[in-house]
Amino acid sequence: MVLEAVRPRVLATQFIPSVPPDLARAYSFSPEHSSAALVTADQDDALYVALDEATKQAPVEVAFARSLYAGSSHAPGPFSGECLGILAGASPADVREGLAACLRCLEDDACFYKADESGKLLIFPHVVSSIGRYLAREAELEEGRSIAYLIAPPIEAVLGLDAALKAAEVKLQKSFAPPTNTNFAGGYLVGELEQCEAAATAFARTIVELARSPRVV
Amino acid sequence: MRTQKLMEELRASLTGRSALAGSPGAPRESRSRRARPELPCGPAPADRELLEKLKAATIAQIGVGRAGVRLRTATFLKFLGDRAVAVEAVRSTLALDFAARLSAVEVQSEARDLDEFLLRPDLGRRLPGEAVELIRSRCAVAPDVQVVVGDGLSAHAVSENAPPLLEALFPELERRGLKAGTTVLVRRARMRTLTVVGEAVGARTAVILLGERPGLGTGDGMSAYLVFRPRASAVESDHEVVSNIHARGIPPAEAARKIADLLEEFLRVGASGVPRQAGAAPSPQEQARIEPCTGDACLRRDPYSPKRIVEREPRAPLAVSAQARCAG
Repeated sequence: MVLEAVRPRVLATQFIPSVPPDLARAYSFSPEHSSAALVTADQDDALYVALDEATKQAPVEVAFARSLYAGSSHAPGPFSGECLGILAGASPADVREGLAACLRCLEDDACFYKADESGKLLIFPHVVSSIGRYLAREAELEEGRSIAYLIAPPIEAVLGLDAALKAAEVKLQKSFAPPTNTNFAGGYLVGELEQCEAAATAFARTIVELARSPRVV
Repeated sequence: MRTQKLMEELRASLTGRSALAGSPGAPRESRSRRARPELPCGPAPADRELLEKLKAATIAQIGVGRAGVRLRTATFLKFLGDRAVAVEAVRSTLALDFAARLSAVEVQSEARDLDEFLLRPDLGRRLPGEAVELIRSRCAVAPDVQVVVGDGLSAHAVSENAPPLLEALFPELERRGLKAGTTVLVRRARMRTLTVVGEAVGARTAVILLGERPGLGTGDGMSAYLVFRPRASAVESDHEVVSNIHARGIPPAEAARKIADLLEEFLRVGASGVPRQAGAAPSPQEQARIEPCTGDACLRRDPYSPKRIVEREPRAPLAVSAQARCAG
């Protein structure tokens, strides 16, 4: 079914109650942080949004979050997925709370959507009504702003961003041009919440239409 | 949530269907609130999904239904089996070489055997004079932290959880610049032996790892009781506890971290237990956390989850001779 949600799969969740200082430095923890929660999922962008959610609900920071090359279908191991996220906090209880918030978000909020009947074309037309500390840093915006977090394969992303920028009063705050680690492309659009919603809707609509008739000549 | 609703609306507009009609993919719609009961008897749950969640969150037997006025046979048999686990745990003993494995000095409380230990709690709290002498002669004097290990009411819990906890605890203490004394193993120990040992060596703080009273089906729970300046006059409220240290509760490595944090805090504040908590005003961060939360997030948050977030291979349970005990 078109625009059906494809829920991310969480592949591994682990805690390190006490991170050795060398490891903490290697993964750029703040000095006051020595506990970590690790999570992998098969959807990188959903995990980024979920990690951001954790920074809103718990006193944790996203110490590390990177997408693996070529996406989840080329993962190096069964628990790698597409992305590794590390939450850092001052105590085990903090990172536990952060991880719980992250998992709740993956369970019923952030996810990719099918843009064609077969489900081969997946897009991430996600609206974050209020960004937390992590996305604020990534998008170079202040906390609490609304963004449309729009991701799709390269041609779909370019066409979708075009439609989104024309359909709503939003600004392209950051663009991810192809090729990225996973070869997906897209960007963060910033504006009022309703404008972000309109942008995400236009983005998804355009890509669904593209999938129905990919060649115009 | 917001995005999902947007996409549902967009799909409806693309296919010309009303968004209000919902879709087969929407999770809210698929929830059947009044399914046929699969229990032979007893009332059908009003919210089966919630009941399943509650049942999955505990190993206690809840929502088991009934047969007429009595328990169902399966429930009753499981009850006997669970009880057998508890009895086995109480009757378990520490291996003879356990003290050697921990490089600990081994002593025994005044209770001469297990039955006396169970019947006379007062004897389990005391150490004979020669045991105190042995501790004085063999242990490091005036350490920052005196570690005591006691079998308590479940030697099984201690054999399982104390070694990994200590392995994580000593580096944690070292990192904080705290000197740990010589570990003392007390057989047939109650919690109060903590202050006896701690006072004998003149420790600044002390911690005892103790097997907890088993519950139905759980024989492997260990607790750590902590105290600042161990002394005979210390009362219950001077102690603090990190409880539920086992595979399905607080993993030993995490407990080690908590214990080290608490001991460091005792030394910083100069108190433990209620005096410490009464003296220290909560930080704004803590204050925010104890403020009552409202709304949806509050309903979905579990304050305590006995289930690990990651499903792991369950540990081999205690050797249970449920059959034999049922028959007996």
